[in-house]
Amino acid sequence: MNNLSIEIQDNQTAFTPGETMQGTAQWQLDDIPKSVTLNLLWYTQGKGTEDVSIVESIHFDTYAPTDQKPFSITLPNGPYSFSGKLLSIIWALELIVDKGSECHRQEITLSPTGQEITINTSSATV
Amino acid sequence: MTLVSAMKARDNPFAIHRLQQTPYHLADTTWCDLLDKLESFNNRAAVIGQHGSGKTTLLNKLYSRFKAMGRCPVTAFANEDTPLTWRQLKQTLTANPDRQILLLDGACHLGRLTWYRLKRYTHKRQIGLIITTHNPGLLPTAYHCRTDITLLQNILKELLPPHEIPNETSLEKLYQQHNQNIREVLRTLYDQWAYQKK
Repeated sequence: MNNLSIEIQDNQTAFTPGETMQGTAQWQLDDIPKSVTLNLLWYTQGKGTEDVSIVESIHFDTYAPTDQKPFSITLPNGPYSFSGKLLSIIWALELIVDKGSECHRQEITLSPTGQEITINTSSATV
Repeated sequence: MTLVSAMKARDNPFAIHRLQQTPYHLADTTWCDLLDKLESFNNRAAVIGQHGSGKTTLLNKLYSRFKAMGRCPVTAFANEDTPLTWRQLKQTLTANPDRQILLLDGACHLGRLTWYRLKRYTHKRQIGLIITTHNPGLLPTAYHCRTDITLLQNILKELLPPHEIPNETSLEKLYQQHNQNIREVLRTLYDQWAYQKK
């Protein structure tokens, strides 16, 4: 059975812009992988068509079905993790084996406050 | 004036990613029969239906199924605002040498010459060509997307807990207000949920 995981140092899930994230990507696979990639990306969810942007990719050189590799990524300045009524911007790390045959995603928060920026109240008559 | 908590976009049950996770409700056929029918047309066939009847959703589901079958599908999308040129289509096909099937959404928006070139190019190279279009005639029809209130109810059952599903009368009203266009009904429901009081 295949098992992928991403461990971020100190189990940190919230980061400020420009902060460096360190951690370990781990995998236990039944077969030898052809490729293992860690992507830092953001994507949108909400009413409209989803958008996605891969900000950084780390390709691990490996021929071992079970392995772990350290990584270090300096986070960009934005966009911030955000949720409004029409759109959410979500940051995540994604560990991908063999171009998507196996995938593990871990969400993170990127914002100056360490919390998702929300615009979740409005004045209205109900 | 009352302060209303708006639902986060990511949590809205009618967000696009939630809709994409719902199973496609085929009418009067099964996936197996539909794939057999497409195969009998050498995967050169049309999915037809009016606006908001589920053609694009069906094409997306077919993409996943063909990919899982190792058939290397590629996609292209045309609409009134972005009509594809032959050059763009050829680039899509040549950039993916392993492709076996082109899934073209909005074939009715191609120019006549572009359509003719695409049809001839894919036929000569035995590339499948599955299209969506509003009316029959471009390729043999493999499936006709139709909507009804039961389909809408079935979709809502996938998205909402039973007690939150609007009653049949208000659903029927919404459905008719949007000229039986389920996509528009779901967009309206998105807005209603986005502003609902928590």
